[in-house]
Order: sequence, then structure tokens, then C-alpha cells
Amino acid sequence: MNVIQSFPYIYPELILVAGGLLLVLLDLFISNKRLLGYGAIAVLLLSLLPMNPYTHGAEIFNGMLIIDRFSCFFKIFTVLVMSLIILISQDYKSLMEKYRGEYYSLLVFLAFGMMLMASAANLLMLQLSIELVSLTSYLLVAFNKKDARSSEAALKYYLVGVIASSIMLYGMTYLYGLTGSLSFHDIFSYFRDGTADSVVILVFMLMIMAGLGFKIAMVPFHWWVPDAYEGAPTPITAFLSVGSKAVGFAVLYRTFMMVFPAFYSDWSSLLGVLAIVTMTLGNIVAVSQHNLKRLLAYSSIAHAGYILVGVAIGYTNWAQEAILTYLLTYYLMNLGAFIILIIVSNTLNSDELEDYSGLAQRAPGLAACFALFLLSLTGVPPLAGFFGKYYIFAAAIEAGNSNPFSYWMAVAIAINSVIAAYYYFRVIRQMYLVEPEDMGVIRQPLTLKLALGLMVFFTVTLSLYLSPVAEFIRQTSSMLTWY
Amino acid sequence: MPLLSLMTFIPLAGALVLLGVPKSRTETIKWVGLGFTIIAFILSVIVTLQYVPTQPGFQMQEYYSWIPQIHVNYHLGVDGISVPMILLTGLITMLAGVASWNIKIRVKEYWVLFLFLETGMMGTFACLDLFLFYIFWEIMLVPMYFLIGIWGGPRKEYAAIKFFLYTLAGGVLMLIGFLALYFTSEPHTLSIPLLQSLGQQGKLFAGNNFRFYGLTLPHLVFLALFIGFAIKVPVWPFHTWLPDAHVEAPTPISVILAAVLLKMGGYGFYRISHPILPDAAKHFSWLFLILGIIGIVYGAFVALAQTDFKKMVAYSSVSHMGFILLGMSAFTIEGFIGGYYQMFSHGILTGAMFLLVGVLYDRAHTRDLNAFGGLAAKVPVYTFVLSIMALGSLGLPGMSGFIAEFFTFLGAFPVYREMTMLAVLTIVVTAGYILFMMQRVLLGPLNEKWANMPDINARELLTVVPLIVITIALGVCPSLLLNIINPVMKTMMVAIGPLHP
Amino acid sequence: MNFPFIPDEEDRIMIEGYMEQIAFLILALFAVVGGLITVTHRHPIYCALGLILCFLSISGFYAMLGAPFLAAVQVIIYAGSIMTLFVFVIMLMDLTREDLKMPPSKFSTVVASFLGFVLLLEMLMIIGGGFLTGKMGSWTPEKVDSVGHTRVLAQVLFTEYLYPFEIISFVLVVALVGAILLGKKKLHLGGKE
Repeated sequence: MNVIQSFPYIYPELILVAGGLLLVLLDLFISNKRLLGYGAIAVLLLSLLPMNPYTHGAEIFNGMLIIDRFSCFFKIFTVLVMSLIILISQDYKSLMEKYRGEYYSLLVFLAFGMMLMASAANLLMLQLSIELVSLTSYLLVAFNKKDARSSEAALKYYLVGVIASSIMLYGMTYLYGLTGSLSFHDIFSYFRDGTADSVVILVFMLMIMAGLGFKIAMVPFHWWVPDAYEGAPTPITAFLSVGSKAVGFAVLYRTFMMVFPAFYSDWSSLLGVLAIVTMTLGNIVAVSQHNLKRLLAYSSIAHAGYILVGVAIGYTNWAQEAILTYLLTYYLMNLGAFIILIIVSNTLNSDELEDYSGLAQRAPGLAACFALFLLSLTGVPPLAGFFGKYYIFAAAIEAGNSNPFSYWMAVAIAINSVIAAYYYFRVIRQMYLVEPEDMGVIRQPLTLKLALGLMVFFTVTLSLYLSPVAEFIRQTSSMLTWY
Repeated sequence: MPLLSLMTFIPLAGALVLLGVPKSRTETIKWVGLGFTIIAFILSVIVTLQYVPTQPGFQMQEYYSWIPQIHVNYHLGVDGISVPMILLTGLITMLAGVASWNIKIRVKEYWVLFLFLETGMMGTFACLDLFLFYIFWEIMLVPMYFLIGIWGGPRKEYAAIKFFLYTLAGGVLMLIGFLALYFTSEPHTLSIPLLQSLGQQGKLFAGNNFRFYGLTLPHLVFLALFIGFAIKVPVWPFHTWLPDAHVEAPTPISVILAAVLLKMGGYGFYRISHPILPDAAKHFSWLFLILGIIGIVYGAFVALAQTDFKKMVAYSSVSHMGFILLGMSAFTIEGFIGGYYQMFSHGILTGAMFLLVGVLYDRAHTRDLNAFGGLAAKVPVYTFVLSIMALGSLGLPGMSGFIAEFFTFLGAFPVYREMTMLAVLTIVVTAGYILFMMQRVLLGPLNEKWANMPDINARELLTVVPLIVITIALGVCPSLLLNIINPVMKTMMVAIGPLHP
Repeated sequence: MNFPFIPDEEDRIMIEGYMEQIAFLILALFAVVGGLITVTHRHPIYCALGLILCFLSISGFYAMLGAPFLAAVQVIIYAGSIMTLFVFVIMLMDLTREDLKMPPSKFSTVVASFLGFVLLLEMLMIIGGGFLTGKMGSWTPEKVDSVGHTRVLAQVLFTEYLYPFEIISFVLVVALVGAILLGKKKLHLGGKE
């Protein structure tokens, strides 16, 4: 589809760009930055209007982007994540009031980048969209200029990011040299027709995996995670753990499914092993953490491992639905947990586990919500997190019939769930079983309460209406192949 | 009227009601909480009365499509295997509610969690869908963690997390097993009745030739389910959470743990693993036999060595639960009935034992058996009650424990003579630790420390007497229970077939 | 070989080939040396100069490959403006000798050398695997020459690659906003500027 024909398909993106730029402009005249935040949310929600989740799929801008149901799911997901991130930033105390306007517009730009990532179908687009998202993320991580930790985190994040993305770029140049094209479709057909040496292709795939693995916090590209999560402003940490990771998975899944089907058995087993290593390492290290942000950072590495199992399984409906369901539920529970962190740290100025002692008696509602999120992260039914895990298990067991290795992936998830339960319950223990040292009131601003209420409501009641949600996910998942 | 749903969710409704009651009004909270357990108990009695044992199949079924995309249905129903368990749950929870009267701290949270727990237990016994089963099974862990962790003894945190992690590990393995059943059934289903008929016709696992060290997929699935259930039973060597959890939990929770939660493992064997995977079950009958015998012997000897009253009762549980495995390993109808009878009887007897330990502990604040002595003269009513229950545990004829053990031996003896003899001999050890306990607590010279110990009071008596009545009734007139379970056991045995056809 | 040496067509191609190889080797040598200086030298000014050397050699590659526009751009933008900016920034930072005395960590040296070695092995493997014979893209040199290099670039950029081109401009907007944001008042580490 040529440029002119393509325009109707990118209305959501155009709305975001225009809205974001408008926000930058309005920032000059409006002194109440809160209004800008709501404006940003409005822009994001507005971009939902032209979306059609049941689209039949189109390749636009000469095959640069693919608009299909899969990408549309992630666009909707992006809007959900980003509007909530903006909502919870409204009352996040540590942000400098002066720069909030830029902050909100950067978040809108970020949403734009994520949407691009979700539908990129060309190595150039892929690289550019990842750059856009990464660049904005570095900035946002460094946003607390006064906090040395924030700057340090950003620097670390930036360095790892640049290295990972240049490795990926390097791999892409080889692919281009080999196949003479950047488009997913051309590369795919080259591999389909030719007899490429899979060992060499494996090296290229590894390089691309480096860049994408960085985004989803896959071992061994995970070591920026704890520092960046700890140093970044908490809403941004929440974004990194949910938004950035989700689109990272979208890209990873799409790239490997669409470009390398010829080498499925190679990347499948590679990703499978990496998945097991990732979840195990994340969980084991999380056990000894005392800072909640770091704890959630390692836990998010572990969750990336679970989702990777879905990616490794690849070409089944269950696997794809598992990835989408898991991301959706992970969004609910993990963002919820970060909202609690924001509320508590607003009052206590601390994310240390010790300071959560006796929260159940200090702020029973807050503690109950947090406990629910942690239980959901553990995978206790009938909370949302359980369904994500159920789907992943199901995908692994189903695939086991043709690929016995996925049985072992299922067993690995089972063992890891138990390890994870241990450290999630350390937090619950601190809140419920330890007596409080101080009974000071914890201030709960309205916006945060609203966001918290939404997350708790959906985490708890998802089981009641899972059927339409599952139907939606089934409808939006489209097999990512060219056949 | 959706009787089963009502019975399952009434306690949950109670928990929600309690959330609205102010924290300071502890008396109101207690009465409201107890009220809901009484309603649940009445409903469980109605279910029992409405159940027609002679009619085959599941009764009072409720069926709603829930998540059709993944073939999950809300499906409740009862048969002879679940009805006694439901009755036991209703009864024990109500009595434990009465025993909870002396919980003094964080009363509101206690009762909310307590009622929540009951919903989980009721649901597990009433549901007929594996997905639902898993939900109810896991959902219980959470309130249990808090109930042990907040209101427990000195090592409560350790005990609580140990219990949680053990059972979670088993639960997740079980879930993998369920999913394997789902994907190998054609059409895919999670419905227990459907899977049972598919499994008994040998239609599961068609075309699957996965092998792992000579084990086929059905074998592995059976092992996964076995471990999940065995941890809950608990079967030696998965029992190590049990003494910790029992000892640290507050009295009413120990009672529920022993009387209801341990039964879920056994119930899982009867409801899921054996009917659905009969061939694998027969393949692993030796495992049941060996672990059952080890459990019986080991539990008895370890109980003999205990000086902590509660720990002794806990290990006696390990020993008693071994009988379930022994009974099931033989694949005879007597064995199956014996194992099941043992489940019910153990629920009554051990529940009562824990209540009585709690009575003593409330007065003495110690459970050290050697610290007591000569209490018989001081607290005659208590002595009388404790003696009855202890003798029941020992397997005295005329009480429910005897019937259970008798049936088990009757069923297992023709198949495994030597091993069964070993188990029979263990009864001597059982008698040993029970009588040794009675001697140390009730007889001998009076320890002057307890000269002013008050006797068991009316409220405590109220919790124990119904159990005494039931255990004697079941001992004298076993047909009360047999009438309910016999038809369904017969059908099941016909479907499963003998061990060596 | 006759003397005086009058090259015929065949010889000319051969000599051109030699010349090209020699030029390549010289440029490659400069590029590698420049890169080495960039990463090994302690003083940032030398590092920047090394990088300029590297960039210049790369622009030589572009010229050799028949892409004069890219070569020019490389010189003007990278070697010229960006590096000049870098040098200015470094001078403004006013580093003293003490600032530069940060001992390199042994661990990272070992790890980096190891990774570099692995990368080298990979490259050798790929070259050894005969993988340099890739597929031609749609714009062959003949086709490019027939239209004109700059024109082709413009055509492709504003039709086929219009959207990515716009995205780049957007990335720049974000970078600009970020640079102002982080750079205000005092210079801060972190962020891409």
C-alpha cells in the first residue's frame, strides 16, 4: 500500500503525535500542569476511536508497517498502560512540578513509539521505533534530576540499551547483506526459498535477540533492570515493567514468527532455555531483596521468563493467546503493586520492605489491595494473574505433544511459582504478621485511589467476565505467518 | 434452588457482611460469623438428607457455561463420595467456630478469613470441574496462611509459609496434570464426570507416545496428581509441613486442618486420580502400599516419641492417613470403603482430639505431656471425654475408627498378606502412644501446679459432644455412612476393575 | 611484461583492483587505529580525535563503494559538526588531570576482551562460511548511476521510506526536548543528547 493509501491506517498515531506536540505548546501557557495530564489522557483515549481491533490486516507504507489484530491489541494495550501511568503520575510527589508538562508529552510520544513497535514489519522501522521508545525511556528514567540515583539509573540503562541496540543493528546489517532487503516479507521468502546455513543464521538471530531481549529484560540482558527500576521515578518503573516489556514481547514474537519460521526449531529451543534461565534467575535473586522496587524488578524478570515460554512455543493459538492474556493480567496486577508503592513512598519516602511493617493495621485497605496484587502475581486463583499463568501452562502442555521439551518448561514454571510465592509472601508477612512501629496516617490522594480501585476491581473480578475477554483475545490474535 | 451454590457461597457472603461491621464490635462479629457457619451447616445437612444414595450418578447438579473458550464450566454436583465430606465440613467448621470464641486479637480479620476458608472447602467437595476444583483448592491456602501466621504459636510464620509453599507446589503440579488431561481428552474437557468416563473407557491419551524413563504420559500425569494430593493427605515423605502447621495453628484451625483439609488429598484420589486414570493407578498400586505402610508405621513410632501433646496428635494423623493409602492400594471394594471410612472417622476423632488439646492448653498454657499428671481427679468430665476420644483413635471396637481399620485390613489382606500383617501389628504401637499419653496426662500423682484447674466448660463441651455422638454412632451402626458410600463405591469398583484381573 | 609498460584493458582492471585493495587496506587501518584510540585513550580530546579519524576513513569506504553523497554527509555531519560539538563540550567540561585518573576496572576489561574475541570468531565464521555473497537489493549500481545518486536517494527517501524518515524527525524532537530538559542549569549525565 502506498503512502497516500496508508494514511487512514495511522490515525491513532497521528492523533498521538499531534496531541503530544500540542501539549508541548500548551505547556508554555498553562500553569496548572494537572490539566495537561488530563489532556494527555484525553489524547490517548481519543486515539482509541479510529482503531478497529477486528481489522483484516494491511501492510502500509510499502510494507513498513503491518496493521493487524495483533498490533491492534498492543495499541489498545499501550493506551491502557499509558493513560494509567499518567494518572498515577499526577500525585507522585517526587516529580518536579516545573517539568511536568514535558513529562506528560514525553509519555504521549512514548505511546506513539510503542504503537510503531507493535506493528513494525521492516528492520528499519523496527530499529527506529525501538530507538524512539528507548530514547524516551532513558529521558524519563533520568527525570528526577536532583536524585543522583535517577541519573545513575538512566546512565546504566542508556549504556546497556545502546550496546544492545548496536548489537542488534549489527545483526540486521548482516541480514540485509544476505538477503538484500529490510522487509520482513522479503527476508522470510529468502530463507524459505534458499538453504541458508542455520548455524550462521543463529548468530544473526542471537544478535537480534540481544536488542529485543534488552527490552523485555531477558537474561543475560537483564542487569540494567534492578538499578534502573530502583532509580527511576516510580510511575516510570511501572511503565518499564509493563509497557516497555509488553511491546518488547510484541516485537520479539512478531519478528521471530514472521522472519525466521524456517529456523523455528533453533530459536524455539534457544528461547526455551533462556526462558527457564530467566525465570529461575529472576526468582532466586528476588528472594534476597529488601527494597520493594528491586524486588519487583527481579520479579518482573521472572515474569518475562514465563511469557518467554509462550514465545518459545510459537506457532499455536494457545501460545499467542497465552502471551496476550499474560500481558493483560500482568498489567493489572503489576501496575497495581506499583501504585501501592507510590502511595506509600509519597508518605514514607521509602520503598524498603521494613517500612511496610504492620501496614495491615496502619492502612488496612491499602495492605489488602497490595496483598491481592501479590497473590495475583503468585498466581492464586481466581485472581487475574492465575489466568495468565493458566494459559501459559496450557500452551506448554499442549505443545508437549509435539515437542516434549515444553513439558519441562511447564515443570520449570511450576517450580518457579513456588519460589516466587516465597518472596511475595515475605512482603505479605511484613504487612500482616509484623507489628507496626509507627501508626502515622498514609495519605491517599484521589487520583491514586481511583487508579488503585480500577486495578483491584479488575484483578479480583476478571474471573467473572473472563469469557468475553478471552473471546476478545482470541479474536485479536492472528497467526503471524505469511502463509 | 441452587442448593450447592448456596451452601458454598453462604460463608463468603458472611465474610463480605463482616467486612462492613466495625472492627471494635467483636461480639457482633463473632455471632454473625458463627451464624453463617450454622447456616452453612444446616444447608449441608439438607444436602445430605436430599441425597438419594440408591440413585446413580451425580445429584443436585448445577451447570453453567463459564469460559466456553477454554471449556471451563461452573459445574457443581454431589455423589456418595462428596456428601459425607460436605457434611463433615459443615459440622467441623461450625464446631471450630464455637471453639474460636477465645480468639481475642484481630477478631474481624479472623472471622472474615475463617468464613472465606469454609467457602473454599465446601467448593472443593461440591465441584465437578477440574478448573473449579483447582480454584477452590488453592483459594483455601490463602486464609489458611493468615490464620496460622497471625493467630498461631511461637513459630507461626515458619509454619504458615511452609504449609503454603508445600501445598502450592503440589497444587501447581496438580494443575499441570489437569491440563494434560484436558489436552489429551477428545473433545477437550475439564469436566470430572466426562473425564471419568473417558478414562475408564481408555479413550484418554490416544496417540500420545511420550516416554520418560519408561514412564508413559498417563503415568506421569498420575504421579503429578498423586504428589499434589499426597502433600495434602499428607503421605510420607511429604508430611513434614504437617507437624509444624498443626502445632503452631490455633486450636480451631488445627481442627479444621486435621478434620477437613487433610481429607481433600484423599478425596482427590477417590474423585479424580483413580477414576480417571485407573490403569495408571493400578500401575502405581505398589507406591500406595509402600507409602501407606511407611506412613502407618512411621507415624505411630514418631507419635510414641513425642512429648508435645499436639505434635503427638499430628503424627498420629500421619499414621491414620496411611490407612487410606493402604485401603486404596488393594483395589478391592472393602479396601476402598475402609479408606474412605477412615477419612471420615479420622476427621471426627482427630478433630475432637485437637479440640481437647486446645482445652487443656487454654488452661495450662503448655502442651508438654510430662508437665501434667493426675488430672483425672481434678477434671473428671474432661477426663471422661478425652478417654472416649483417645480410645476411639486407638481403634476400639464400637467406635468409628475400628470399623475403618477393619474394613481396610479386610480389603488389603487378600492382596498383600505380609504387608497388611505389618500394619495390623502397628495397632499395638498406636495403643501404646495413646495409652502412654493418657497415663501421663490423666493418671499418676497430681502435679500441684494444676491443683486449681477448672473442668471443661459448657461451650467446650458443646464442641466435643456432637463428635462423640457421631463416632459412637458410626461405630455401632456403620450402615449410616455405608449406605451413602456403598453404591457409588460399587459402581466405581466395577468401572475400575480389580488389581489383577 | 614489456617495457615501457602500456596497460591494456585487462591490466587496467587488474591494477584498479589492486589499487582498490590497497586503498581499502589503508582506510581500514586508519579506521581500526581510530577506533582503538577512541576506546583506549584516557583523555577525551584524543578519543574524540580518534573518532574523527575513524569517521573520515569510513567516509572513504563510502566513496569507494560509489556513494559520494553518503561520503560527503559522513564528513560534513559526523566528522565535521557532531565531533566539533563533542570537542567543544569536552573543553567546556574543563577536566583536570585528577578527573581523568580513573583506573579501568580489570573485570570489565576481561569481559570486554572476551566478548570482543567472541565477536571476532563469529565474524571469521561468517566470512569463512562463504556468506559474503548476499543477494542484490533492488537498487543496483547500474540503476543508481542511470538516475543519479542523490536523486535516487531523495526519491527513495520521500516515497518508500517517507514514514521512517518522518519518524526520525520525531526522534529528534524527543531528543531535543530531552536535551533541554536535562541540560537546563547544569550538565547531567544520562539521557542521549
